[in-house]
Amino acid sequence: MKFRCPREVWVRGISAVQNAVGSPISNPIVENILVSCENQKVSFFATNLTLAIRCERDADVEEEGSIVLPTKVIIGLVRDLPPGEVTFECSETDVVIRCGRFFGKMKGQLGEQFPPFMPSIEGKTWSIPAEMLRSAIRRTIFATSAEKSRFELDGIKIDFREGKTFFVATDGRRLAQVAYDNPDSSINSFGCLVPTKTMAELLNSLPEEGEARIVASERRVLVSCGDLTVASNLLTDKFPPYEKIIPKDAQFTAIIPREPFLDMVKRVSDLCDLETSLVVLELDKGSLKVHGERAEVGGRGEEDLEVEYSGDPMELRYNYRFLIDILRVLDTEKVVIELWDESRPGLIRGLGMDNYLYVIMPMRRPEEVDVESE
Amino acid sequence: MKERFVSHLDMDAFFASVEQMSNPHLIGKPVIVSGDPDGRSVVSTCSYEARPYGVRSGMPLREALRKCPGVIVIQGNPEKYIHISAGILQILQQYTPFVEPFSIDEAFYELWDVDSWEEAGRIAQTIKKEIGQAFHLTGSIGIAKNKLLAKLASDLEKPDGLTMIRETDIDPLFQRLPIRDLWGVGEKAEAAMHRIGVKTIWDLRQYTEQKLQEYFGAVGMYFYHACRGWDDTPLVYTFQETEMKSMGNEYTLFRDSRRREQLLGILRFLAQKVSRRLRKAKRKGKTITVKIRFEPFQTITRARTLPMEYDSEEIIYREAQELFLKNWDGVRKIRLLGVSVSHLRKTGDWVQSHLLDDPATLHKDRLTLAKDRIQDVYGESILTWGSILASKGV
Repeated sequence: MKFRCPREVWVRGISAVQNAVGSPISNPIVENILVSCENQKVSFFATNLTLAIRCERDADVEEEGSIVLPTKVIIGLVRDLPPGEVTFECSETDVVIRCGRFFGKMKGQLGEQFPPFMPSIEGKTWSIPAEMLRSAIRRTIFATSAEKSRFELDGIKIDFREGKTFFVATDGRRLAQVAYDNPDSSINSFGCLVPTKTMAELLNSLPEEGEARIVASERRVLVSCGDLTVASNLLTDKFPPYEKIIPKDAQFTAIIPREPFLDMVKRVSDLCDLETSLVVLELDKGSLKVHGERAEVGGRGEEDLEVEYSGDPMELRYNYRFLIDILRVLDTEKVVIELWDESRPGLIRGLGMDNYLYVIMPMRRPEEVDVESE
Repeated sequence: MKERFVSHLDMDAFFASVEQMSNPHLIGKPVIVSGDPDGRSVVSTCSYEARPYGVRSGMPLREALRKCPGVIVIQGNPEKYIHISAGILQILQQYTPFVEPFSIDEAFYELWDVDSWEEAGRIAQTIKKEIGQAFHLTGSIGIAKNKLLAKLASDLEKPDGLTMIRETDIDPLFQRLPIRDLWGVGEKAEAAMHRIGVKTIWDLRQYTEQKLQEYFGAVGMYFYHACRGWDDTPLVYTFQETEMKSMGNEYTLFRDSRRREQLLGILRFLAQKVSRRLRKAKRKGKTITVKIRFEPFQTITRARTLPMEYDSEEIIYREAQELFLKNWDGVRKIRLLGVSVSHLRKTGDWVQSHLLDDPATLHKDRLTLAKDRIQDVYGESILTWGSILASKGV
């Protein structure tokens, strides 16, 4: 096996696949990365047996073949190689790497021992621009839950219904939903629950441009886009019926400049209780005051802001992390908060941005029980 | 730099006063509180009435009895003292968050938004009054610029004193006070001080830092500062209410019993009581303990720790019942049952509500909530479980 390619190809390939590297418990060889070349292409491949990532790039291939390389060594080496062309060759398991005036050698393992890429998937197929997919993931992934007892929330639900494609994530306390028009009428009333980890890798490694082609069966999903192919098991747990919890027909609406709001919440949160993360939003005609207290340092922070609001005075109590998450990820100049009353969920959107919404549950007194959910 | 106002509250004959307060027959009489009234114990506290006889804390009980014949000896009730001590700290915390519980009957507090001695004094008066109203107890408060002097001050006019040591008071006071009164000088150090000719605190000032370190080692430096009234140790405040470690209730049966439904009814009653107390105190606990006293006097306790904290009567009862049935053969007669919950956590004033709650737990919560509300208004006995009535033979 022998091929030449620019160092950038190695950097891209290794960084795209490295997070799919498996643990040695299931199968010791998946702790490594497979590098193979054929048809003037080099491919990098790693899998933990539930998630598999392959990155394939053009290369000047002199002799086809494959080799399994130790992950940590190759990550370090690629990072530190000088710019320029890398010549990689191996016979059996002896590897030689040259780049500029650098010469290195090491032992690999035979490529045949590495598990194959996921079996081909048959199912619903659709396409989405990579940029759109990345943005949908970025706007929902922070609302997923890693709670051990609720596997069904550790993913992003993709739903096709009513002529739209929905991306939804919730940890049970807040919910983020992105919706795009779905021009493909052949795919409707279909959904899949993609693990957070898989979505995180897509977010990291999807190419800047191009169309992502997605195939989903009941158990698996395959996403290919440019040089990247990601295959993953789906979560088979039942995602909660989120449509019902998205409130409609707001009673009051506040329009707030986003960046000043975000900065204000961040400042006040430094003097908020870390355990409950409680911050209080006081809305009154034309103004929003944010305040919080941090008992262990006898601390209190407050700040106010002019906003567009003409509803009843409201005192809202939220987890400030939930607020910061959404205000950070929005990019509109202003945000809209839709409200009903202090104990019911609030709905946050970017002003003029109708395809993205965020539902946030307030804090309540421990003895109060949420009437809403009955 | 801003002037500091550090105060030290020292409750007067705390244990003995608590006992007198809870039993009016003891008021005005010499009382000794001790670990074990029958054994070879020592005096942990004595009331002021016992002091003229020469009774002192730490004195062997036998000696105290000789000095003050007829003195009433009471076995200490730590739970009672802890409860009242926590209540006193709560009073202090209404005036400042900077409270350092120093021992069960002493605490420091520092007022930060006060800038005159008069105001510090007024607040101390109010605190004393509040403690008096809440617990019928007296304490002595000392106010000074630091902990060292505040502690010294609280001791000067006991009982029921309020003493301030201002800058100008320090020198004359130290010329008068015996060295033993300095914080940190015990019996041994006192003897050593006398050997080097130090009788009053003031006398210590003649020695240099080096000399004192030579005489006393590491604490020499402290003595050098202390005899000048210097001390900049901050308060170790927790900002938290004194943590309750556990919460429990016991029930002694009128007649020893082996009637299963009666015993389970008592457990249910205890679980209900504990759970209500937990909810009132905004606590949840994860360890449930059952105490069983068999006839004639063998007592066992059995505990189980759950994966998370609860305050629910249902869960406390379920666990208590299981523990009880596992440890009772159904034959031995039982004299006393107790249920307690420990490993407590504060539930906080605000909790996150959920978008996707399990309706079953919600329903349960609402039932408990409704029960609490009714019992808050009409008292504990208005609502009860059938099994509790059964235990009373209804």
